[in-house]
Amino acid sequence: MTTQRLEYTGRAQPQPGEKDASGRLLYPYLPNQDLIEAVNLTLQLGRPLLLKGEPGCGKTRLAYDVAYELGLPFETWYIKSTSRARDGLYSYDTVGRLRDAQLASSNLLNAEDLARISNPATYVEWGAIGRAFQNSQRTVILIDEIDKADIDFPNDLLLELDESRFLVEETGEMITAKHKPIVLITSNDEKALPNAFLRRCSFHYVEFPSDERLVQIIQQLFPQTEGAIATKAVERFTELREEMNRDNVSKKVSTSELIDWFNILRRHPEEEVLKKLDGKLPYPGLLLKSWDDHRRYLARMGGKG
Amino acid sequence: MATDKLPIGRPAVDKIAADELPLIELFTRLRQAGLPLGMNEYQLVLEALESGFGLPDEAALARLCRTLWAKSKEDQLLFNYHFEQVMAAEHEKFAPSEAWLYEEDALNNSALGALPGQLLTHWRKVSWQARLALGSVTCFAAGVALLSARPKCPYFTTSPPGTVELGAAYRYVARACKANPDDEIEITVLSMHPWLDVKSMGDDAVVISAPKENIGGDTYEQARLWNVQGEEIANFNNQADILAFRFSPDGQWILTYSEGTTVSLWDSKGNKINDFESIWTIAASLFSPDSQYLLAYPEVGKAQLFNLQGQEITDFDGLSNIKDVGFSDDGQYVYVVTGEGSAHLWDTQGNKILSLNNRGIVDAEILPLQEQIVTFSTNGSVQFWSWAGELVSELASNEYAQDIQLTPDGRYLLINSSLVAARLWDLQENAFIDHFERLRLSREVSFSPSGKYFFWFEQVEAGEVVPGTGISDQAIYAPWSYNIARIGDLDGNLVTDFNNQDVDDLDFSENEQLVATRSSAGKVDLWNLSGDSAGNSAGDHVSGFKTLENIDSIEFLPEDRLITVDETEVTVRDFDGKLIDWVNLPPGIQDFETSPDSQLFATLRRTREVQLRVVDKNNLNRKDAQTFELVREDSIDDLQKQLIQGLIIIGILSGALITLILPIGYVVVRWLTGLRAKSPTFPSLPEQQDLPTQTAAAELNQRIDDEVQVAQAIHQTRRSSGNSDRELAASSFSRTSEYFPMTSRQMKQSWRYLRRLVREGPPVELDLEATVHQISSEGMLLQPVLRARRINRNELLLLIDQEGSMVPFHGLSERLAKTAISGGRLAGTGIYYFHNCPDDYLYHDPYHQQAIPISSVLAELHSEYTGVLIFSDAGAARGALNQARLEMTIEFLSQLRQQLRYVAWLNPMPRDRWNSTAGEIANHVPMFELSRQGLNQAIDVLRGKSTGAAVS
Repeated sequence: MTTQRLEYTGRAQPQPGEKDASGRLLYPYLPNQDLIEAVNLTLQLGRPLLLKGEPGCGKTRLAYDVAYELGLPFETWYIKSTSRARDGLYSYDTVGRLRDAQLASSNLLNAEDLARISNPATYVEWGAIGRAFQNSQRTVILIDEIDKADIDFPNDLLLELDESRFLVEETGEMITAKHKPIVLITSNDEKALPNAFLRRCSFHYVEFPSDERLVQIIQQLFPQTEGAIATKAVERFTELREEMNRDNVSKKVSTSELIDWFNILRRHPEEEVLKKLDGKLPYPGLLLKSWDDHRRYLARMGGKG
Repeated sequence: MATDKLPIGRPAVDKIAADELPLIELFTRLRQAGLPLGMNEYQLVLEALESGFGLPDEAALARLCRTLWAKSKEDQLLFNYHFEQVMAAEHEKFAPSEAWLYEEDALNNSALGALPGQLLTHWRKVSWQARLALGSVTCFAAGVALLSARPKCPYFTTSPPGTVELGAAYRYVARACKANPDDEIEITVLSMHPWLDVKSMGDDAVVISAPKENIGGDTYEQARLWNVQGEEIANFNNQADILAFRFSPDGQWILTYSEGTTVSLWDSKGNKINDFESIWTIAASLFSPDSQYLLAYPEVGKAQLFNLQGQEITDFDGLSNIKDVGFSDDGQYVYVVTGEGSAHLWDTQGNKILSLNNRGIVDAEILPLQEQIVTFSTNGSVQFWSWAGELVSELASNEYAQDIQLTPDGRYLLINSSLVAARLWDLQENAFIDHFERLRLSREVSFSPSGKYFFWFEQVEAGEVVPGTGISDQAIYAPWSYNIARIGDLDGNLVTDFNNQDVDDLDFSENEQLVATRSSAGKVDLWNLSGDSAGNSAGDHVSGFKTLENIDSIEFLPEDRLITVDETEVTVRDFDGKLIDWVNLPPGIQDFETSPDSQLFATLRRTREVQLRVVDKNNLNRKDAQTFELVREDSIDDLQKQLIQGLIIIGILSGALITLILPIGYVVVRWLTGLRAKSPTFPSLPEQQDLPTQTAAAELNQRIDDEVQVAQAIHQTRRSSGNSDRELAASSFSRTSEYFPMTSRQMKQSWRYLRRLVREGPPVELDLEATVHQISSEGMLLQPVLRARRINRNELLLLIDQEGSMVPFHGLSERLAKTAISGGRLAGTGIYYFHNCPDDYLYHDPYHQQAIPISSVLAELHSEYTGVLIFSDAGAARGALNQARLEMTIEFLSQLRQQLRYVAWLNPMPRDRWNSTAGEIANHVPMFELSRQGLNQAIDVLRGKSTGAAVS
């Protein structure tokens, strides 16, 4: 494994408009001290870090930021309900091979193609983990929303995460990681994860940011923002959140929604925004995602001011 | 300089070896609590510790272990709870139950004040029975006292243990409270053993730690020099074992005397000027009045004169058997009196001027102006000699004189006689001016700094009547033996007799208008020496001065201030006795020296302690100090042992008391549950608040409450079923939070087994086998064959018995329902409530508001995929056989069976408590106790496993 000691500080922030290698826009990210410590622990121990927290509290963003600050290549693997563990390692194009075999049997292929298709490795397509293992640099892997997959999904990754190797069954090739990757796993806690898997992870619960932090986040993202507006917006947002908290609504408004909402708000002139914030909740569609919520909170909070 | 001046905030240096931390204990507890941990995880924490994580303090350790060991929010709460428990136990190893100590304190302050004082003083003599009785009173009083008589914040909420085992590694957090969250408090380290390390942990706590190998050293001397403002000038801690100080007359130099042979000279900034290799002590060394020379005269060996550069000027021709030496008042001459009755005179350049050999001389004084030396012989005569060695004059005396002294102005010679009087001889007038009748002189006569007054101490014996002196006419009966003091002026008048009160020490103010006295008991008074405008006359108390108690030492400071030293602190006070400021010095000062100009103070304390003080910055009177001492565990003295013993007894008694309260509590609970109170919460037992053990976070308390309640309910029924008070008292009941029948994680895991996978829905998965089969039959691949995914079709009907005897299990049933919905991944989960036994209707809500007929519930279910789980005590908590209930239940079960195949019963009561009703019901349905195994078995039944074994 690598001997260099990496340390994550959470301080390196991208400039507005800066993009990563794949052309994705980068945003500043403000982790708290506990989170930084947890990340460093992960870096040091080479264990996956399991991040839980409310949806939209910045679990995924953390991975981007870690890769950005450490200047490491970054692989993402977004889990879907149909994802299988092997998808993250590699996929084998059996159908393509079958098609090629049939083409070959009907003599439609030249010699060059024949040589290519007779090599079983041709049909291997590497997944995020597969690519990361073969990378010459330590790689940050984000396994996003692992709880979306089947219950047994995490268990199927045990060997890969533990020993950093896997077997490509079709070719018999053993892929061993050149550098143990930094694995960050997020979960929205929709399903419980199996014990054996949990055992191999370290865990951090990403807390919902405090009001001051929310204001900081807004100001980092939109540097031209007046402090008064940010504070006011966050105040209104927190009020709504607390209201939802009291009702035990399962889907509470989150940071990412606040950011979207604020992004729209700030397009208006300052006085207008302040006025809007004093009155009826502006742009409720960005915050309230069900008709029930609409009815309930707009009625309750509308009368204000 | 390793120690005191606020090492707070110093970066962490010490590495704490993992085996010194109670990690194993914590790890085992977490495993028992159901966290998924293996040895790997333990190794991992060790590894992280080695790379430096988690070492700075307890909070960091908690963070580290939490990140690596807790795998969900619930785990984190469990972790926090166990961490606190383990750490508390760890601290308790060193100190006998802090909480009780506190209570004891509070007790002494308030509650016990009302008890007969004799009871307290004879505490150790009273019999066991009496202790028992007193103990139970104490328990109540302590609880009350704790609430009412706690000192105002700030005080240390967690105080360091009193003793530390020798050789034990040590980590301790001292935390202080604030009266208001935004109060500014400050924890200062007053003194500390040099081996220890103190680090700040936020503004209200410090961590004290020591490496294993070093602790347990002996006492160390802590010597400090500081100025009037209380600022530390120097800290002599690197000078080993300082025993005493001496200031030079101009206050610019300090001599320190160490054990062994080293005498060191320091300047007033604390810089060492010189070391003298010598065997003389503080009693045998002297600064010249002009602070230029140093004279040393050990009992054995020769006397030496040094300059302050440490060079020896003369050794007086090697004279030995020195009885007395002294400088002239101008610092130019030195006399030496030897045991042979000889007196010698030298100048400070080292030239011998005069020798008077073998004349029975006891003492001498130099009169530099007259170029004479006065000697005082064993025959009582006082003789004046010129420097040529001629006898100038002689005062014949038949008194057995002991001592002669020149007044500081050189005008008078005070001749002390042990028999009758001190007499003042006017050297200019050549006449005695007066004499003072004395009783028993207990110390040398001394002069005030200006020489205007002189004072002496006399001893009175117990039972003696001290006659009036003319100043205070009243005779005083002395109840014990003590010293009285007198102040006289040079006109021969007695200025004050301090009302013949006990005076152990006195100090003159700068202008000599006031004098402060301290009695042997530590009582400080302030007296006028001359009349003042306020109408006080000489010898009166200073009006308005509030007498101070328990003072060890007292000095006047410039600007009308007094400095007082007592056991716990050094304070600056005004002439009303009011506290102006306190000096940041550790308590327990053993030696307190003031420079002659009262500008510098040297303190010395012998200690093995760490002392911390917390102060409310806005109110200096609010403060608290804590000390802990490094003592060998086996050297705790008997008194402490007895104290600890006493505390343990109190602890046991409080336990007994609680067990006495329990049955009452149980009756109350029974009564309340009998009322079917609408509120679903369980009334908290009265003794719960009195227990000092619960310190877990409030957040967590809430969460484990249900488990605690379950534990209590089970304990109670076990007890009441014993049906005998003796058994009740004998069994060692302890309210434990360790009873975790199941955590939600475990429940979720169990629910997950409840699945019946069926392929349903759109075909999305490749059916490889079918595809290959198709290729083989068609000759080529046309398209892959797809099939539907497997999904869980199992449905659960959870029926929960609510209220009545099930009240204690509400938390548990709520958890069961919650985990079934969130963790089960079931095709459908129906949760309904009932009371005792379903009776035509089930309820949607725990409060039995929305009723729904049983038949319509059952009609909606897929008979093939649905299992019914009933959560009820089946009458087990009640005891006696309830025929009606039994029959109704059996009828209901058969109604269920007509529709559904899989029925199981979970009983929160343990199997051995299943009495007649529950036992009968268990014959009709597979019933399991609520435990991990029980739930798993129940789920097996719901999946269709044979039930034969479970029922029996």
